[in-house]
Amino acid sequence: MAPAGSAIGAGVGLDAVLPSLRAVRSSTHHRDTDHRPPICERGSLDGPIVTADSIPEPVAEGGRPGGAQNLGPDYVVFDPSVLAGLVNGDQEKIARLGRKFIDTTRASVEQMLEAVREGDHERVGRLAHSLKSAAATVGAPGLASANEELEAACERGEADVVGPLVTTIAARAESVARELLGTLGEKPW
Amino acid sequence: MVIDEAAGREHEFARLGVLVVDDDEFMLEVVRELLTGLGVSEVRSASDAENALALIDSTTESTDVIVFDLNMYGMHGTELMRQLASRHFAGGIVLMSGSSEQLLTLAVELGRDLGLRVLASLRKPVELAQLRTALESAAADRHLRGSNG
Repeated sequence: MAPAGSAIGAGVGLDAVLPSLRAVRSSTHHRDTDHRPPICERGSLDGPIVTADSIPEPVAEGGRPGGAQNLGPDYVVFDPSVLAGLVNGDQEKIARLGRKFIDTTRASVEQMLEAVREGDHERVGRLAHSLKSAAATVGAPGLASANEELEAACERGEADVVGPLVTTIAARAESVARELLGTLGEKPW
Repeated sequence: MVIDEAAGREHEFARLGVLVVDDDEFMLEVVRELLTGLGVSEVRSASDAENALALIDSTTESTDVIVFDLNMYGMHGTELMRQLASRHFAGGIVLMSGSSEQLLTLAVELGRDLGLRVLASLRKPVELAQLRTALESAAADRHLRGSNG
C-alpha cells in the first residue's frame, strides 16, 4: 500500500511546481490522474501542418513586447553537430531521431494551435515545455528559446502573446524540419 | 588498460536493466538510443509513471535503474518517487528535467529523504557523458551486490 503522500499535477513550470515540491515532503495524499492531452497521430513527413486560417498573426522577428527575441546574423536554425554528437555520429540513429523529432514536433505544434483556439494556455505551456527540451536536444536553439518564452508567457498568464508566439514557433519548427531533412538528404516535402 | 576499463564498463552496462519513463515521445526515444549506445542491452520504457509502476509490479526482471522525467503530466515524478519508496525500490534513480537546477536539487533531496538511491539529476537536454557517469554508479552497485551475493 502506498504511503500517504502528495502528487503534483500537470504544472510544468517552476512557479507551479516548486511550492508543491516543497509541500510534498510532508503532505497528504492526492493522486492526480487528470486528463492527459490527446496524442496526435498526425505529423508525417509529407507536409506542413500550419494552415493560414487557423493561426494568429506571427510575432514580428526582431522583437516584441513579450514576444520573440532578436534574430541576428548568428541566429542558428539547426546545428546538426548537436544531434550527431549525442549519438556519436551514428547516421542511422540521427536519421531515426531526426524523423521522430519532426513528427512529434509537428504533432505538438498542431496541439498547441488547437489549445490556443480553445484558450487552454496551461496545455500550451506544457507542450512548450516539452518542445523546448526536444528542440535543444536536436540542436535547434531558436526553436528552443521561443518555446522557453512561450512557457514563461503561459505561466505569467500573458494571453496576448501566447497566440503570436505559437505562430512563431510553428514557422520555426518548419524551418528546422526543412534543414533537418536536408541534412538527412531528403526533400522537405 | 584504458581499453580494458572501457570494455569492462560496457560489459557491466550490458547487464543493467534500465527503465526509462517520459511522457514526451521524442525524449523517450532519445534516452533509449543513448542507453543502447552506451551498451545497455535491456532498456524498457514507459510513457507515464502509472505505466512504469505497472511494469515494475508485473515483471520479475530486475530494474537496476529508473531514468525518469520529473515534469510528467498526470502522476508527477515526485509522486513516482513516493510510490517507488513505498515499494522499497532498491535500484538507482536518475532524474531528468527541463526546468531549473533548483527544482532538480529539491527533487534530489526529496528522493533521498524517501530513502531512494538518487544517482544523478540531469537537466535537459541530456548529455551522453552525464548519463554514462550515472550508469557507472549503478554498474558499480550491481557489481558490489554481485560480489556480496
